[in-house]
Formats: sequence, structure tokens, C-alpha cells
Amino acid sequence: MSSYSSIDTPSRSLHLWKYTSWKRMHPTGKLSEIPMVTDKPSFTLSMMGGEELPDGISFEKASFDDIEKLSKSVEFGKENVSPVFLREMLEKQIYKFTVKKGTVLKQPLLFNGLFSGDISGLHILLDIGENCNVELISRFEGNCKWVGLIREGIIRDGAIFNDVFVNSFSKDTILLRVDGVEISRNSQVKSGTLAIGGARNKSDIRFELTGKGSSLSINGSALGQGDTHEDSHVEIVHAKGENQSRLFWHSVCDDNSNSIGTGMLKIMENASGSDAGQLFHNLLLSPNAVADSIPELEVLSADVSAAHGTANGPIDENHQFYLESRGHSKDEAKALIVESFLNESLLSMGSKELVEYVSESLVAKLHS
Amino acid sequence: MSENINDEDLPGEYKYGFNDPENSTIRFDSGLSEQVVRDISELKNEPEWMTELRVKAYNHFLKRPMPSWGNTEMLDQIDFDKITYYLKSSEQMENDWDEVPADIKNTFDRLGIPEAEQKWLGGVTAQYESEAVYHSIREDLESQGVVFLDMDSGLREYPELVKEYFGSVIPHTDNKFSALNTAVWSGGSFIYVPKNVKVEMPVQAYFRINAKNMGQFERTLIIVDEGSSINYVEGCTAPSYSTDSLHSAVVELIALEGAHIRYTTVQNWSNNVFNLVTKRGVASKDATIEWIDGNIGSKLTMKYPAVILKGEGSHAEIISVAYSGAGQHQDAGAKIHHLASNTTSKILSKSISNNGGRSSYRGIVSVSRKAENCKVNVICDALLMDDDSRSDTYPTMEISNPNCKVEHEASVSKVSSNQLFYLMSRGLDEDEALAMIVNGFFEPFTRELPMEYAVELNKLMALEMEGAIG
Repeated sequence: MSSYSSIDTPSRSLHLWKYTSWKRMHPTGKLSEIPMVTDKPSFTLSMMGGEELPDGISFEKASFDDIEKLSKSVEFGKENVSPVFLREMLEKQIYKFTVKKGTVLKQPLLFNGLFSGDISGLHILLDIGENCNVELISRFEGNCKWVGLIREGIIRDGAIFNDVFVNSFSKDTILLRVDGVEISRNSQVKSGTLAIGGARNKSDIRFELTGKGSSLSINGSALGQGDTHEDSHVEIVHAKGENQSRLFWHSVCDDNSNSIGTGMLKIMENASGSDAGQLFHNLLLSPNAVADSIPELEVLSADVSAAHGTANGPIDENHQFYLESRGHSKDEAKALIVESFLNESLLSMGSKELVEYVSESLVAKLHS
Repeated sequence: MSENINDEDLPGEYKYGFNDPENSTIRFDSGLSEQVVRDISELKNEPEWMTELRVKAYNHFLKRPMPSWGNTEMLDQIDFDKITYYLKSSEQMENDWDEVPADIKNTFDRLGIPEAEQKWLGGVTAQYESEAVYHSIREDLESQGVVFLDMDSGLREYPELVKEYFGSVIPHTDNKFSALNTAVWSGGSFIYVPKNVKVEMPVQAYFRINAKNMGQFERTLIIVDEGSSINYVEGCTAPSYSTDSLHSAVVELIALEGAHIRYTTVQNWSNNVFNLVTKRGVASKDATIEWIDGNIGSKLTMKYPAVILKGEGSHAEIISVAYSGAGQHQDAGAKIHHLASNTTSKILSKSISNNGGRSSYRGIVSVSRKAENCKVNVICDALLMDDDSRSDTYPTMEISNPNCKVEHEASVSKVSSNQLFYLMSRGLDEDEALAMIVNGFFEPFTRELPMEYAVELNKLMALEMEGAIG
């Protein structure tokens, strides 16, 4: 098993580290060290409507057995330093989120994590039981200078799981995020990201479809303002066939922001019947903003449908004109277009309650 | 003259796999050293600046690591010590076909070069191993001031022009293989088209490797002056040996204001050739550069034709097709950098992977901060014929200007059973139907080729596709 000390500093020639070097993401910049967590986060898990948590849901310290079973569910590759670093740094901050088999909830769950101080983080293991139907909104906020978050686990057979990650950190926070989730057969999974906070965010989100008959939809909306640097890597592996996956990633790039979207879609041998698509859209609003996209495909099986696309451009003049002709000022029209562009990728994330929560979070940020 | 056909455990039916006995007049020992580099330069009686540039490039080559990306497993198979870096098969370059040595002439006769020259070419250069063996240009072009020479003659006859532009687009420090080429280059084409001259008929260079473990390092420099145009076509073949050869060319294009350069390549090296080529052009104001790039042969190709759009209103177009059969990896793509406003570009990449072959598209499009109102369209389509084959797409988009429109789309699929059924219901057998679908898939490329090339390519693809289904 590789440890952080045995891994070389990742080369900038690897596209995962091309735009945001490991040195920029390390909490102290001293690459040989794994610093101590200085401040533990506080968190709550509740039903969105305020009801008590049902029996099938729990969030507790993970046991050694849990770590053995649920950690490293997905292979990150030898060169990937972040998951190894986070696992070692957060070894005393490991919790398990469990949804028992057959649990069906009518309201989304709301997880609130508050991070303060200098260096903080959380390692969450996910165990989503068979045939459950659950929605989870995870909101992360606070003014901590450096936060590490790693979520790993398994979504079991027949589960329906909608999961939204809201990055609402203060404008000075540096966030290193890693997700590695295995999806078993006949599951329906939606994974959303709303990135409206933080100064520098690097996310490495990976899903592996290890059973047949599943669908995965990854939707992301990232708002780049000021000097924010948002680097998101999404990797989907179709290890088995007859699965569907979709990725929609919308980024708004304003002021001096930098938005990077890299995707890797792998369809492995014997994954015939896979149907996969990736789309990256970047809306450029400022002459100083930069948007980089690298949507990659590796296909090793013939009977598949795999496609990807990217589109970068300014606000459509027709849209702007239409709104202005209806009485909106230029700024109002622009704000409406930005709001709808970011909302678009999250509208299909799940229940009305979940979508409303996400939309309201976005609107609150845009009007703050 | 005897003729050998090598079939030492090599797959496929490769029409150009014959070889001639090696009758070299000069052959360097295999392996590379500073002395080899200096010897090549001395042999060619080059000016001192070129010798020094070669040595500098050699030292850079030694320092530079092998690429850590792409098919590193195959790249590691290259043994630079086993390669012959210079081999001359003819005493001198001829401009009369009858004067070319008989064995070499026979090779090019079989490849159809003199016939093509008579019918539809404005000029021809034929390179055999390290040196050009035959060269000619139509008199009317020559009288208009068009210079079409092999690169060695270009350096001798136009030293100032060569010194100004050589390495200006692709410096020796660009990558490991451009350093190697700069150190040991030999042959290639030197073209200069003066102002306002349209070269209507294409000019062609044909590159042939005959010897085993040969390294061919031609260097091509094309300068097209204001308002002029040229269409340059190159073809490449080699015998099928069980040991590997290396082809590592550098091609630099300079399109001055309003110029138009079309550079067409049909690469059909045998499956024992490493084809590691750097090609790049710079387009000035209102100029156009087009790369029409076909990769059918070789063991491993790593080639990404590039255009730097540095003048306002310039345009780039790259059409690239690749076919990968058993044991082949075509790692091809395109790079376009928009540095100026109102520039436009289009990339169309098509690939077919069959019988365990691997095709990769690797590309980059960048729009700089100052480049206003640029438009970019990138399309990559891939066909996978069986479960043993592989297709990859690695596009990069770096956009730093808000007023540009950049679109990219890619798809990977297999041959549609509906299309096959439709054609078979009209009386075609499965192989014919498949060949028709594949030729249709490559049609955006073949329609840009001179007709003779297009016909040959269609026949070749039909042959490659036999038995690809079922």
C-alpha cells in the first residue's frame, strides 16, 4: 500500500496537475510534511423539514472494519497524491454515513459542516444500502484557511441516491476535495456540485460503475468571481456494460477567475452497451477570466455510445437583447442569464425541495 | 537487381513492403555521438552556424527526457544506439530521371512517382534514405521565381533565407525529437514562393526508407510570400522488416500576409516504423494554413500538426484521419493557437481502430487574452471495429478571451448495423458494405486529396476492412 511519503510530487505534465500544482494545494507548501489538523469541524445531520432522523440513517465515527470495507472503493492511480494525503491527514476524522437497506425518505437530508481555524477536514465513508431512496444535501461552510474533504464508499444494488455538494466556504478558503464512489448494479445516482465559495478549489470526483443496469448523472455549477480558482476533475469509469452516465458542467467565469474542467470517461473492456456523454459549458464574462476544458475519452469496447463536447462563449447577444427589451437593465439581464445558466445544470438533480434549496443558495450568493 | 519481400512475422498485406538490396555509397555506423553530428555537417559542407546549431541540438537531445505521455511503452522500445543516422545511396541528386541509379529508380517507378509527375505535379522531390535522389520542377514555375529544392541545396543556394527561418517556428528546444532532427537532419524540401504567385499544380515529395534500422530525419521549410499559394503533397513508405526504423521529421511553414499553404500528407509507413514528427506553421495577417493529414501506416505515430495564428484574420484548418490495425498506435491530433483577433479555425479528426489497433486524438486549442472574436470548431469522430481495439480522445481547450466562440464535440461508436443492413439489402456483401461505410466516414479527408491519392486510399481501406466484421 502506498503512503504519502512514498509518492513522488506529481508532475505538471499530468493533466490532473497541469493547471493547479500540488504545491499550491498543500496546506503549508512544505511538500514532505503532513500537517496536523488544527481545528475540528462541527457538523449536523437533519431532515430538511425538521423531523427527527429516521432509524435507517446514521452518521457516526467509523470503525476499523468500516474503513477496511469502504475506503479505497475506487482506484485513483499511483500518481494521485490527494486521496493518500487526505486519508493520512484525516485518520482521526473518519465518519461513516449509513443509509440502511430499503430506507425511503420523503424529504432530503441536510448535512451542515462548519469549518474554522487554520487546517481542518473530514473523511466521510458512504454506505448507501440496497434499494433505498434518499436525497442528501451536504453544505460546507466557514472561514477555515485550508479544508480537506474526502468522501469514499459504495452505493449498493438498486439504490436511488441524489447527492448535492454545496461549497459555500468563505472567499479565503482553500479546498481540496476528493470523492471516490463505487456504484453497484441497477442503481440510479445523481451527484451535484454547486461551487459558490472558496478562493482556490481543487476537486477530484470519481465514480466507478461496477454493476450492470445503473445510471449516473453528474451535474456541476461553478461560479467564478474575483480571483477564484476552480479546478474540477471528474472521472467516470464504466467497468461493466449496459450502464449510462452523463456529465453536465456549467462554469461562469467573471473578473479574474480561473475555471478548469477536466473529465475522463473510461469505457473498459467488456463494458459493451455503455452509453456515456460529457458536456462542459463555460460562460466567459470578463477579459481577464480564463476557462480551460479537457474532456477526455478512453474507449476499449466497441459496442458503445460515447460522446463529449465543450462550448465556450460570451453571453448570447440575443438573450441579452430579449431581456433588455422586456424592461430589464443591462446588469439585470446579465444577472438573470448567469443565474439561469448555473441553475440549468442543477434543475434535474432531484425533488422539488432539493432543487429549490440549491437554487436559493445560488441566488443568495449572486445577490450577496 | 534482386527484390526481396520480407514477411517476417509481420501482419497485414502491405503493398509497399518490398525492399531493394542496400547499395549505399556512404553509411555511418549505427549510434549517435557529437562526432556523428559533426561528420554529417562536414560531409554536407555546411556553414559553421549550422554545424554549431546541430551540436547544440544534439546536446539538448541528450538532456531532454523521453515524453512521459502518449504510448510510453512503445517509445521505450526505440533503441537510439541501433539506428543508422546517415546513409547515402546515390552519388548525387539527379534532375533527369534516367540518371537515377537503377535500383532506386525501380523503387520509385513501382510507387508511381515519375508517372504522377508527368500527369499532375508541378514538381517532385524523391528522397531515398538520408538524401534526395531526384528533383525536378516545372520550368514555368521556376521562371516565376518559385524555389523548390531539397533542403541541403536550399541551404547552399539560399543561406540567408534559410538562416532567417530555419528553426524559427520549431526551435530545437521544442521537444526531444525536434532536437534529434535538428542534430542529424538530412534531405527534406525547401520551398520559397515569391509574392503573388499561385502555384496551381501540387508539388510532391516522396520519402522512402529502404534499409533496416534506418533513421530518416528530413527537414522541410516552406516560405510562401505575400498573396501567394502552394499545395504540397508528401507520401511515405518503407519495407516491412522485423526490426524498427525511425522517421522523425520537422516541417516548418511560414505563410506571410494573405498567403495560402496546403500541406497534405499520406503516411503509409510499414508497421515497423516509429513516426515521430513535429509539424507547425505560422500564419500572418489574412493567411491560411491547412494540414490535410492521413496516417495509415507505421507502428507508432505521434504527430500533431499545429498552426499559430499570429496575424489578424488568419485561418487554420486541420483535417486528420487515422487508421490503426493490429499492433499499431496512431497518436495523432492537432494544435491551434489563436494569438490575433478575428482568427478562425476548424479541426476535423476521424479515426478507425480495427483488429486490436489503438487510435488517439490529442489536441489543443488556445485563445489568447488579446484575440478578440475568434471562432473555433473541433469535431472528433472515432469508429471502433471490435472489442480488442481502443479509441482515446484527449482534447484541451484553453480560453482566455470572453468574446470568442469555441465548440468541441467528439463521439466514439461502432459501425451502425442499420447502415450495414441497408447496404446489404441493396445487394452488397458485408465486406463491400463495410468498405463503403468506412470510405464514407473518411470522405471529408479523401475529397481534399488529389484524385490519384484518394482512389489509392479508398482501395487501401477496402483491403484493410476485409473481414473486419463477423
